[in-house]
Amino acid sequence: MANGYKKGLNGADVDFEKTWGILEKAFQEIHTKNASALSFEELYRNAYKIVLKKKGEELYNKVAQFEENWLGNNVRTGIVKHLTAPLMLDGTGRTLNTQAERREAGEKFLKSLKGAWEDHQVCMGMLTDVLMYMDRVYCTDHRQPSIFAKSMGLFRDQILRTPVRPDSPTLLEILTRIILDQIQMDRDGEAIDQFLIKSNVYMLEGLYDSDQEVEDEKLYLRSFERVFLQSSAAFYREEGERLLKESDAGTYCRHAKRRIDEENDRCRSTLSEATTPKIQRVVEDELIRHKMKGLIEMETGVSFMVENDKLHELSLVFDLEARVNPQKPELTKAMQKLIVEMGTNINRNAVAASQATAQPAAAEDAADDAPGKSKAGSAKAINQQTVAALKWVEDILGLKDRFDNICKASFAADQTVSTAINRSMADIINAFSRGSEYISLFIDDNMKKGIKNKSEAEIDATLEKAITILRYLSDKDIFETYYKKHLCKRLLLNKSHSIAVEKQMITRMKIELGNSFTLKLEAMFKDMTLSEDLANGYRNHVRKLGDADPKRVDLGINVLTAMTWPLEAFKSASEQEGQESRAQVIYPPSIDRVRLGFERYYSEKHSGRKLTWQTNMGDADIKGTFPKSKGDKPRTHDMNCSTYAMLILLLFNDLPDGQSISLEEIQVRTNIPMNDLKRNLQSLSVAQKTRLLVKEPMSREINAGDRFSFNENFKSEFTRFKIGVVSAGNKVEGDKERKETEKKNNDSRGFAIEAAVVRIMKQRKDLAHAQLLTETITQLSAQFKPDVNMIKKRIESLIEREYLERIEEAPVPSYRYLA
Amino acid sequence: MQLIHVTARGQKLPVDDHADRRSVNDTVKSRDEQRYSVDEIMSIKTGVYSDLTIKCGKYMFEVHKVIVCTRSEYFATACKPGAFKEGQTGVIELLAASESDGTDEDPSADDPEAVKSMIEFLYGHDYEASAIFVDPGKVNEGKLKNAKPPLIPCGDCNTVMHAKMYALGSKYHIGSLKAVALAKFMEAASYAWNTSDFVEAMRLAYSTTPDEDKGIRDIVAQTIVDHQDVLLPRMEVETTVRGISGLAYDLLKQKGSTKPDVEGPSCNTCGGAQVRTCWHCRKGFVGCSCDTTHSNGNYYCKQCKKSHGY
Repeated sequence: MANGYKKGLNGADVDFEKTWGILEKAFQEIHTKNASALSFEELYRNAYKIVLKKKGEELYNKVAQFEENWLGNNVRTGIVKHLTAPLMLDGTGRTLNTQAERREAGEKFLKSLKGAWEDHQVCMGMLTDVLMYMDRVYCTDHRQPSIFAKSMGLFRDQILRTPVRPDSPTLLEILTRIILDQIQMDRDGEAIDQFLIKSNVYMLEGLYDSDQEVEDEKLYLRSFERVFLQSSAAFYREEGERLLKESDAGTYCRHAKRRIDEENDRCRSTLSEATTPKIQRVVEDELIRHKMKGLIEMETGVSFMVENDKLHELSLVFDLEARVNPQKPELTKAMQKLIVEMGTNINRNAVAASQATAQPAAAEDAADDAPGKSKAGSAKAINQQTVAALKWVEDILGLKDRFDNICKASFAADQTVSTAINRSMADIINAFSRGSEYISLFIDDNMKKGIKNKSEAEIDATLEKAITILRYLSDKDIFETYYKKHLCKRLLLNKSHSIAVEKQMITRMKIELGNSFTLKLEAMFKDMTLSEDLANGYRNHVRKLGDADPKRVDLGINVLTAMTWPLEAFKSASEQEGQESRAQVIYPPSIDRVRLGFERYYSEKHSGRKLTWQTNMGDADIKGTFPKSKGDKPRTHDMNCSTYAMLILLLFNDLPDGQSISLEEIQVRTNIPMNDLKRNLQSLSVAQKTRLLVKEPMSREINAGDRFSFNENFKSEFTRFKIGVVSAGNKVEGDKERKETEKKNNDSRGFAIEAAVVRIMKQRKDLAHAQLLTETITQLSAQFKPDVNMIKKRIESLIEREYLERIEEAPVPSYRYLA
Repeated sequence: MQLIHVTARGQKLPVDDHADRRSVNDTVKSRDEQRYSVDEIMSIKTGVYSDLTIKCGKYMFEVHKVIVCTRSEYFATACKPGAFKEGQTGVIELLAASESDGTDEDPSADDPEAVKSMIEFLYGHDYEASAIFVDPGKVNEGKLKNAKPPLIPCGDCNTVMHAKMYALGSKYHIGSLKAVALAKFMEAASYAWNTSDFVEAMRLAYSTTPDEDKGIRDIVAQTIVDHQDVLLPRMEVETTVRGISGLAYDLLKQKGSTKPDVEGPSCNTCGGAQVRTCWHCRKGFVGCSCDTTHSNGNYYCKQCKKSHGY
């Protein structure tokens, strides 16, 4: 024991050579795949011994040297052998051989390289096993790369980075080129051995740029991937441009999508997963991002797709752009442009229709046997305009439905796009100056006729449509004016088909536009209900009086609050001129009695209220008895006519047979405004079906000096009929009316602005001009979009009236509220 | 896994020379039996279902890859199929140091007894070394002369075997074995420091581990520095220290860092060392001021602490 340590420690260098000899021989065997007879225990022990004797470094270097020699001498020559002619470039950088030859030679080369790499891996695995103790002790403590890493570096240097011949490229460059070539073949649709390439990519991924093995310095990333991405970019740029020229947009989309999928698959099957996002980005850049504009503007682009309802292709475009930009700016822009284009078209058509129809209608007059030549003509024109209005609404709804549908079907109900579509819809609706009126007319038409014979769900849908458009409208106050006017006529003339639906509509508006908007509309309904009670109450009251006069005229009455009802709706433009219309109509005694009776009854219930009779809005049911003509019994007819018509007819009650009354006489005796009088006489004496009076001379126009007498020969096949008065329904306004409405609207806006300004100032006391403007606009935006100039004028006026004053010393123009 | 396990009764392992096929677990005492399942013991004893044979010198161990290979990277690598001879034959023959003096000049050869203990450890997470008698008088030489009460050697005191086990742990990549062996070595060295065995252990420690493996070397150096007054003048110590490259420097370094006023083997943290009796198992164990008492004011050895939660 005493001498044991001497030998053990100091004689360390004795057998290093001998021990290494054993190892070297074994390594040789391992590399020639002859390892099965080797004893792991022996090899490990020898390596262990060398390291114990502090010869770790020598061993490490020896092994490295051994590997270097082996790779340089044996392995490289084996691979270079496979670099056959088809793989080498000629002077121009192109091979002269056919693709098939190239592919075959490439595969051979790849196979040999793959084989060499795999052998190297296996062998080095075994060497690492044997040298485990060295790796643990020597490499760790001396900060050396493990022998495995070292040998991988050797493989890289000896095999990949050494030029084949002094002046030719390295194997790595050749490898890169061959893989790219094969991938190109794959893209062209030729079958290649994906697995073979994948193996080589594995190799590149397993190797690093330097011996430090920094993760992002993999040889694959450093050498191959970069070149691959560059060449792919070039390829797709060229392909994209070619496709834009040659094919249609749908094909392009499908192709781009397929290419992206292909590249993804390729990364999975042939290259590295790590490349997937990068190549995807390249393809997206080249095929989508840079081409999107061109694609959308193609002849067969988005507008073509929308026109032809190519929903699927639209969804392809959408998918493509969504891929590169979640905002989808190009597509959004294109859609908005389309909507504005189509919307402007609709607007233009509506304007054209409303203007153009006036002339043809007048031209048709001659053939038309409706009474009142030009009047009827213009009435018809107005009717045409109403149709145009309805058409406009339907068109706008159609447009919206269409794009909503596209949005849902093709764009996955994308938020950004649908917002953009909505904004454009709002733009075109508000760009149309008659929008508010037309929407109201649309509702009016539906209330009167549209909802007849419709199920509840259908009515619901119709109402919803109206609300949808209403939502876009910014000038809600104008709409309110029109709606009130139309509603008023519907209610008073009993034109509305269903009060329940009317109320439903109001509820919807309430939800959509707020309480204040519908307040007045609801008041109108309330008036109607109250009036009914009132009329019933009066009837009972009369009955209780015990006055059972069968001849007594029954009275139905609507008491309307003056402020809430737009009664001017009933006056035609021509009537505005004089105040004579305000003059009381002269009632015959039988009627007057009832009127006074009610006034008495009403003032008993509500003292201090003044009743104004709007006779121009009333109507009357009359039972008329006509003398029998030859072989007939006397006929009675129930007639419904306007109050004015009733007054006129009553005059003829007392007239002896054969007598006639002149126009002027009628006017004097009834005090009906001349215009109304003429209109009523027209329907009584000119319209064929209700010709109760005979006019002298017979013509369409009612002229001064015309005389009227009772038409004894009146015949009608109906027992009940209605004597219509020209122009009573809701129609598009004439120019004059519109001007009137606008003026009124501007006035009311003025008040609203003033109110808002005062409200704000009262709260803030002092406020800068700009801020005041913003706040005012915000406050009013629910009702309409205020005009800045108008606000300024209003502020001026408020200052004049000493509600506000300018603060002289303020740095920015400001106002102060004067309490 | 316990790191320090003190055997109170030093036991000579029964050696059955007649049987050249021995089952290692004959030596695993019933004391530890509760820590193994019945199946485990049966399988080691009889070699049933064994799929690997490890030979070393006169021993042949029928072992199970599932145990051996999962604990030692060396065996795992050796058993890899399709690589080396061992992977196909299922036999690993470890070179045994020549039987004559137990230390062949080839430091890569193994002592079969140590290999046996290693296998025992792989199965049982512990091994026992044969106990060596140490003269109590020699323990208390030098600066321990006046120690009250005098230190009474206990445990196996087999520094050589523990040094070998440490080397095996390093060679065969069994980290836990190194830790266990180190603890045992430390304890044994505190009693057996004044023996020629320790000098041999010293040599082994320096020749079978790489320079960077400080574990056992530090303890050797510490022990020499602690007992320098007795050890350094001795001839065999001098030859050995001179013969081992690097030991001199380690000693110097150790001497510089040792607190001068501490007597006996000491803890690196608190500088003290004490032999205490475990309140639970009544065995002595080496502790230091770092040890904490249980809430009842008594000390417990690490094993009892762990297994009984004291």
